[in-house]
Amino acid sequence: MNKKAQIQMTENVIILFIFFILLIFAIVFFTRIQTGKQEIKISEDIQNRGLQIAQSISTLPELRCTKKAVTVLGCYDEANALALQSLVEQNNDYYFDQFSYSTISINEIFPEVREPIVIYDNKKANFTSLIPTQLPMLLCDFTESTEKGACSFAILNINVYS
Amino acid sequence: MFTHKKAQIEMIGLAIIVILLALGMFFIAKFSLSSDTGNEVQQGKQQQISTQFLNTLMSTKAGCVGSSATFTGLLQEYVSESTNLECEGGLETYFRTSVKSIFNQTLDVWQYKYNLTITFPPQANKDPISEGPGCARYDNSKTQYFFIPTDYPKSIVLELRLC
Repeated sequence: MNKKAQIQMTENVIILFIFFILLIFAIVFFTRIQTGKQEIKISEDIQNRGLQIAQSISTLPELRCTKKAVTVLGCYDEANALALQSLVEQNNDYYFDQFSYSTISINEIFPEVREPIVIYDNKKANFTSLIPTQLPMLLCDFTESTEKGACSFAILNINVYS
Repeated sequence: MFTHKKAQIEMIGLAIIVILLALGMFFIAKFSLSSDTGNEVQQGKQQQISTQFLNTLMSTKAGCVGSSATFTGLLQEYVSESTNLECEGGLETYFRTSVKSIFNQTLDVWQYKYNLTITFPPQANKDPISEGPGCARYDNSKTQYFFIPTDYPKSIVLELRLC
C-alpha cells in the first residue's frame, strides 16, 4: 500500500513538473510576442513622428512659397529654406518643440543635383534607432523672372532619432 | 467497478489535455497571423508619397533649352505637336529619360515598386507611355491620377501605381 502511494506521489510530482514546464513555455512565448509587438509599435510611432514633422513643415509659414502675397500650395521657397537655417540656430528651443530629435534636409535632384540644404539638425546623443522618412516636394526659386517661379524636384529627408 | 471509474477519470484527463492543447494552438495561430496584417503607417506613407510624387513631378521645371516649361507643359506640347520647346533628343525621349532619372533617385532607392502610365487623347494618335518595373497583381498598392487639359476634348491621364 505504501509503495502504491509512493508511485502515485511520484506520478503527481511528474505531472506538476510537466505542467510548470508548459506554463514557463507559455509565459516565454507570450513575453516574446509582446516584446515583438512593442518594438513594432515603437517603430510605427517613430515613423508617425516623421510624417507628423513632414506635415508640420509643409504648413510652416517660414518655408511657404508666396508670389505677390499669394501662397502657392505644395512647394517650398528656396530662399526661405536658406534663411530658415540661421533662424533655427537662433531659436533652437522653439523649433525643438516642433521637430525634437531629428535632422531635416532638402535635396534637390532634378533638373540639377545640388548640395542638400540642412534646415534642422539635432541628433540625439546615443540614439538607438534612426527612422528615415522621405517625401517628394517642389523647391521653387522665385528670384527667377518667371510667372510661377522655376521649381525643381526635391526630396524632403527627415531622420527621426530615438 | 473500481477499474471502470479509474478509466473514466483517465479519459477525462486526456480530454482536458486535448482541450488545453487545442487552446494553445488557437492562441499561437491567432498571434502569428495577426502580427503581419495591415501596417497602417506604411500604407499612409505610401498614399502620401504617391500623391505628392505626381503633383511634384508635373510642376517641376522640365529643363528644356531656354525654357522654364514644366513637365505638364512638355506633355501638352508633345500632344499638340508644336515646336516651341527644344528638349534634348525630342520631347518623348527627353520626358522618358528625365522621369527615369527621377525614379532612379527616389522610388528605386526607397525600394518601392511602381508603374507610371500616361495615356493621351485618341485624337492625338500617340502611343501610351509606361515606365517602371510594375506591380504584381495582388500587391497592396495605392494609385494616384493626374489630368492635364489639352486642345482636344479629352485630357492626358497620368496614373501612378505605387506598391
